Amino acid sequence: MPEATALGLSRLCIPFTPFRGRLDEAAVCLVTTAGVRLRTQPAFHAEHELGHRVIPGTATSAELTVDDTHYDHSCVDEDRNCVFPIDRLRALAAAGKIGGLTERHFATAFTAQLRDFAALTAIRLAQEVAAERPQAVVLTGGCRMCHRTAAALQRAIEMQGIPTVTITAEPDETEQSRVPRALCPRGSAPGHVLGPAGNAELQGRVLLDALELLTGPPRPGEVVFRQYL
Amino acid sequence: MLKLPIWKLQPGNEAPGFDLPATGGGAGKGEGPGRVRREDYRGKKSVVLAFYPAAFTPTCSAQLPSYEEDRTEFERRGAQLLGISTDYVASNEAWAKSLGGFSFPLLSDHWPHGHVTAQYGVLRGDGRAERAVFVIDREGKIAYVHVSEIGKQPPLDEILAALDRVR
Repeated sequence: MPEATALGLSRLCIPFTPFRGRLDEAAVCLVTTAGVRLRTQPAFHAEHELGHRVIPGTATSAELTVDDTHYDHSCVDEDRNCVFPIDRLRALAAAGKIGGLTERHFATAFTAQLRDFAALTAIRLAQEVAAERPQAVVLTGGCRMCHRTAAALQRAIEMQGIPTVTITAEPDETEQSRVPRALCPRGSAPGHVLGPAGNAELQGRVLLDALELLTGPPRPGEVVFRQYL
Repeated sequence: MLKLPIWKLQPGNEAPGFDLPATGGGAGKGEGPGRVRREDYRGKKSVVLAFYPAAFTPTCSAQLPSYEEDRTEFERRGAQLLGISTDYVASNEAWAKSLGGFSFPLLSDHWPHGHVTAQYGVLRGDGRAERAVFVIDREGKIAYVHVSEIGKQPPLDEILAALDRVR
């Protein structure tokens, strides 16, 4: 089996890339492990997936679907922005809060084979993300295990020299995984980490708060909790 | 024979012995079942004895794969990971297989039910183990104990720090 990461980075080390520049000029990329894809793309394997799907920055949430059986879908079935806030990111760009969206965004899905994911998928996907030249990356997970794989991806992307932040509904998993930046909306749950379906205002606020962790004082390894409701 | 009340097991105490049926050395990889004894590691390796409540449950299904993901951390510290629960060997093997397999064995403290788990002071009233980690040094002494809330994982950084102290 391959090494856990290309650099063999210890879990005790937290990769950290400072955010430089301004949020209102930054191109932001979304990456999720919650099994989101375009309806026209091949379905993810529900129990073990090491591949990924590319989601164009022009896609709307209505064009997306979700393949995952490990978290409650009641919210995300109604509104994909609960785990993949592509419409909310576009709204932030329209409001001038961020510079824009990258051309491509990325999604993968459930696997319990964390070592293979870290060694293969995370490294490969981090390189694809880097090719988009984003100034910032926002990550989300679906179920508990997907928060571990999101953390592996986040660490790999950060090691490419790209600042990242994750929005987590599983703060224990995220903290154990030692990521550079993380926001946990108190009371959020797998399947609606950004807030309930249809609450665009709240989802936008959570997303912007996560992005603003990039410009605040460094707190690597810490999960920042915020109360919204 | 353990002289202290079981709930008083603490660093410095002799770790209670065990000789239990287990999956193969790599759980879930189709190796035949075997036995694992504490004495197998005395003078050779420190041991991370990770008690978990039950196979096929959510927190355990994140905890054990996370140890597999980070197995290099344990290997470089010369430590042997051992998972242990009151499940059957066959249950543990099937569960590990469903998670892609592990590079360490899972021990079955199924019969006499929870005997070893009780000696470590972490047998719950419902017959399952607490979520608890004991680091045992090469001389067989307990170097670290952590009993977690049932839905929370033991802190990996503390486990690694304990291994660094006994290396």
